[in-house]
Amino acid sequence: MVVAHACAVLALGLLAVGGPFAVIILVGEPAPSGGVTWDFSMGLGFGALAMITLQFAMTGRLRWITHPFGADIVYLAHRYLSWGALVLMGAHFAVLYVFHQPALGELNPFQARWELTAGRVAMVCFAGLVITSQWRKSLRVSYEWWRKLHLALAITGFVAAILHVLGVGNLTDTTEKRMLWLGATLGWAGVLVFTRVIRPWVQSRNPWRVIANHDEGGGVRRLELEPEGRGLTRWKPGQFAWLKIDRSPYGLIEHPFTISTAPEKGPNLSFSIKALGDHSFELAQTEIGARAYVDGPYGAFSVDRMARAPGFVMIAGGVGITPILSNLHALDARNDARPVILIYGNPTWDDVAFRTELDALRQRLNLTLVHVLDDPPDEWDGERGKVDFDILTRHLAADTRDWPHLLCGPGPMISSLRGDLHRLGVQDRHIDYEIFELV
Amino acid sequence: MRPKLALAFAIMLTLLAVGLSVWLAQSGLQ
Repeated sequence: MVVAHACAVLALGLLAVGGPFAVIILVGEPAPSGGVTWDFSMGLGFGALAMITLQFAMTGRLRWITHPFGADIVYLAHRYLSWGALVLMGAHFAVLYVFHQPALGELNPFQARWELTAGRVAMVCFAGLVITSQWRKSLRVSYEWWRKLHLALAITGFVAAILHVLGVGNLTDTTEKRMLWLGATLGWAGVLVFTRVIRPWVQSRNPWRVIANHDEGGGVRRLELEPEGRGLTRWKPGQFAWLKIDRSPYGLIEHPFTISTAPEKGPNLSFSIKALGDHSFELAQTEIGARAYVDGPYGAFSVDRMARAPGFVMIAGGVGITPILSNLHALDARNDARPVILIYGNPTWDDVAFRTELDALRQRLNLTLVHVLDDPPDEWDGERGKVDFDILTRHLAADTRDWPHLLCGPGPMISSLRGDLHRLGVQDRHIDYEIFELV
Repeated sequence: MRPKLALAFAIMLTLLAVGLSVWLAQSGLQ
């Protein structure tokens, strides 16, 4: 069922790019040709715009689109597609520059034709979007500022691109083609209105209240939220939600956090928050009674997606334990007796969050818990160093190779673990990981 | 597996746009 859904979403993506071409080429009177290179360039520009329009649907967190893949993968596809769109846009310009330079006219915006300046503005905006996202940390742009910049550049770029197409008028000469542009613009505006106005409005009618803020050890705080309106339904263990506390639901400052509560234990939700960045530090200090808005659930990092697995291997690094813990709670709530091997890496013993909770789960679940410490105390007789090939070999018996392997932790840890697991003989399809911190 | 799907999808869409541009240049506009 999920596979069919995934195919439907992918097919719709292909249609979003291919469909408009079909309309231009096949429907109505053929447009006047400007020669092979000219038409090729127009096609590239056109393809770039179709892909950019698609980006708004992909990043609008529309559940129908994110559900089969997990929101992290949709964001990853967004990143790759942006590079693709930028390449198409650059090629559109480059072909004109090489073969039809006189048509480009003046670069100076005061002398150039306005519609060509609009095209250049769009290209600068989209290049800016890709660069600030790919290298946000190196450029020292804070996440909060980046989100504002991203939205502003995206809207400016898209509007400039549409003005460019309409102004140049090469592919807008018939009613069918004008309908196409109108459709793309309306679709784009629709997604924007839904994500920026309608969804926040629905959230504002369904606020949550913070009713507890516990210390979970390892610098992790657990916030418990109670719904004052409609609660969340049908979340899966390991899924996350975007959280805004003491802020307007219309604002851009929000962060994704794992829902720690097992779905069976609702309607209250718990979120585990480690004070790392500015905003998570603020959230960790949240006072009881604060008002919160929750947008979710999202994500596909869930034992529910592996209903027939004989057992699970879970590997967590630091705060990456939270979605894994939520999966363990779900197994516990269902009295699931399948074996789970959890390898949990941390810098020191004091950094290990949820120690008592994990011990309690060990009593109730068929759970083997392996702590790995980078800098252990003197009396430590457990595993030391980083979770690596040797540690995996010692704790993962040969019959666990085709169990699902759920990994959650910092990016470098995930990539080295994937290499180690491949060496161990685990196939990629048995390795699942959540990508957070895409920008 | 999943991240590769994202990359494959992006490459596929980009190539589709290039391919259709070639088609447009070859036969679409008269």
